[in-house]
Amino acid sequence: MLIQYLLLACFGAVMLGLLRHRRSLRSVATRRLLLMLVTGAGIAAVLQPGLTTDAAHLVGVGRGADLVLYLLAASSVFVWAGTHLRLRQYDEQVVLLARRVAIAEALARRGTVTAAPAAGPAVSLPEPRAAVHETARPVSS
Amino acid sequence: MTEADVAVVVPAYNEAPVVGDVVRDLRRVFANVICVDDGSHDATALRAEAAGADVVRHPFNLGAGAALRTGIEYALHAPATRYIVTFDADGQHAVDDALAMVQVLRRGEVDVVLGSRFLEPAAPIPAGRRVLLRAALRYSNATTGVRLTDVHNGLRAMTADAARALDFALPGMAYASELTRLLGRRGLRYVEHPVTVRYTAYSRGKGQPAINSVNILFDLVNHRVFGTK
Repeated sequence: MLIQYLLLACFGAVMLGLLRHRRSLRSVATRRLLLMLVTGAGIAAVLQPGLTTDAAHLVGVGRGADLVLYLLAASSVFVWAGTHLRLRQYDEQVVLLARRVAIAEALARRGTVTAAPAAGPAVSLPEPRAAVHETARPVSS
Repeated sequence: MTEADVAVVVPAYNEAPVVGDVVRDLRRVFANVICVDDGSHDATALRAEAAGADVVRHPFNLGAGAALRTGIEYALHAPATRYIVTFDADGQHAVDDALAMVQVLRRGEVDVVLGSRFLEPAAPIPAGRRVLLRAALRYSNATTGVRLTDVHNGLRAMTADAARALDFALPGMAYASELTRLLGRRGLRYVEHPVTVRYTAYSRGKGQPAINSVNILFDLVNHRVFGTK
């Protein structure tokens, strides 16, 4: 049936997108267009309930409700894939940012890193960021 | 002996009871000890600094791999740094081993020296951990094309250029496998060096729980399928 080809094409597109994702203006625009299309179709389906049944028959599905369910499942995959990619990107950025901050603070505290030995404990210690507890609890890292 | 052109990177997470001693031990031989505090909740940073280490603090916990990268990047800021040693903060490693590995580097025949517990047959490793490590090793050797006897050993020495080339990005414990793969990919000359590891009651309690191998494997697969490198 036609619906099977369409759904498989959907999932295929998601997998391709996962493998070669580049955040671009084009992908943002595409997502927005799809969103408008979907909301438009949703509005039409609400106003004309018979539309879903007609559309379903067009692609070889028995009931309109079934078609809506299939479309919901397919679009969910897109949404989750996009979210996963974005979260992974944020993770990587957070690490880079935290590293920049840590190194910048250390350099600022000591001037430039030199090869000469540090002057021992005669360094003013920085304010601890959070409450520092003297008792160490053995926590596996 | 100050080994002024060597920077020792000690990533640390909640190691306040021992980090001071580890740093002091290192500073008998190495003038430049960089301790990366990976968002510890205890006095790790204070103790390390009091013992004479240069402390770099992550604002929150990122993982062993990220802490190592931060320390290495910080070390490379200093133009005098010609060699970098990575050294665990929990007292398992021996300073003499680190010194010997640097001396191997100075001979100029290799770019990276990797510590191995398994080169000398009489290495006392807890049985359960040995089995797990052997399995991880077989996987690593099969998938990275680099044949090592001890991939997950934190005691390594490398030239500054090799450190720049080994740009692993995984923040967690799986960084070791990525580093191993990069050894082959970047065409670096490497050699393994026998090291002794002291399993004290403290370090045994802190070691990687076996279940974490699930996480390591997951990170690795995720990186290989979706990663950028």
